[in-house]
Amino acid sequence: MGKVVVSEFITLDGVIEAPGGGDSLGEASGWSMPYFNDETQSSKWLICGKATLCSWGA
Amino acid sequence: MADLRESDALLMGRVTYGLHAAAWPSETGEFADLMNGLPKYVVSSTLENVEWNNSWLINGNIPEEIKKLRQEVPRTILIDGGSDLVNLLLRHDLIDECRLLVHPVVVGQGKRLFQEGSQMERLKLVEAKLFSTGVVALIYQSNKIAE
Repeated sequence: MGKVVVSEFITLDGVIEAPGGGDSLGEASGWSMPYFNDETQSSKWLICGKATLCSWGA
Repeated sequence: MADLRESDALLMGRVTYGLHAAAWPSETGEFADLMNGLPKYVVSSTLENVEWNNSWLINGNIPEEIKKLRQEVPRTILIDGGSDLVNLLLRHDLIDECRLLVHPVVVGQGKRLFQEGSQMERLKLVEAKLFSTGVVALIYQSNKIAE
């Protein structure tokens, strides 16, 4: 039996849209980028490359 | 990357599938190889076929299909994005674990992870880690899972 896992970048107000870029939230788009560094990238918490994906609009 | 390496399948909605399928087939590297190689289950009532390598369409009774899938895999089915998909599964008690990277910012707009009406009861915090940037990583397990 496997498990279903959801893994998200999230803001304090619970938003998961446009963390890495795009323009769907206007100037707020890409809100995760100032916090993106080697520490988070190398951690097991992150789907590595997700920020790249997000910058494509996910 | 660990998330992906320990996963047996990716689960995504139509929009996320479209973005991935347009990007990954032409990419190389470990992450691209994982993305292209892993089984991908795409939840959509409008797509008629999926062409990305090892992609499978799920429509009809989505909660039942996810239940079956969960019984078939040994480890993890990772949901990639998709507030609507996450909340559909939440309403059927089909989310086992939430891994959140909480960012110290309030954006005041946009799609939220938990929609009106979605509930998760008796969550158990199994891991918490503070990063130097102020980001907090949290892993919660659900104690109420559909059989």
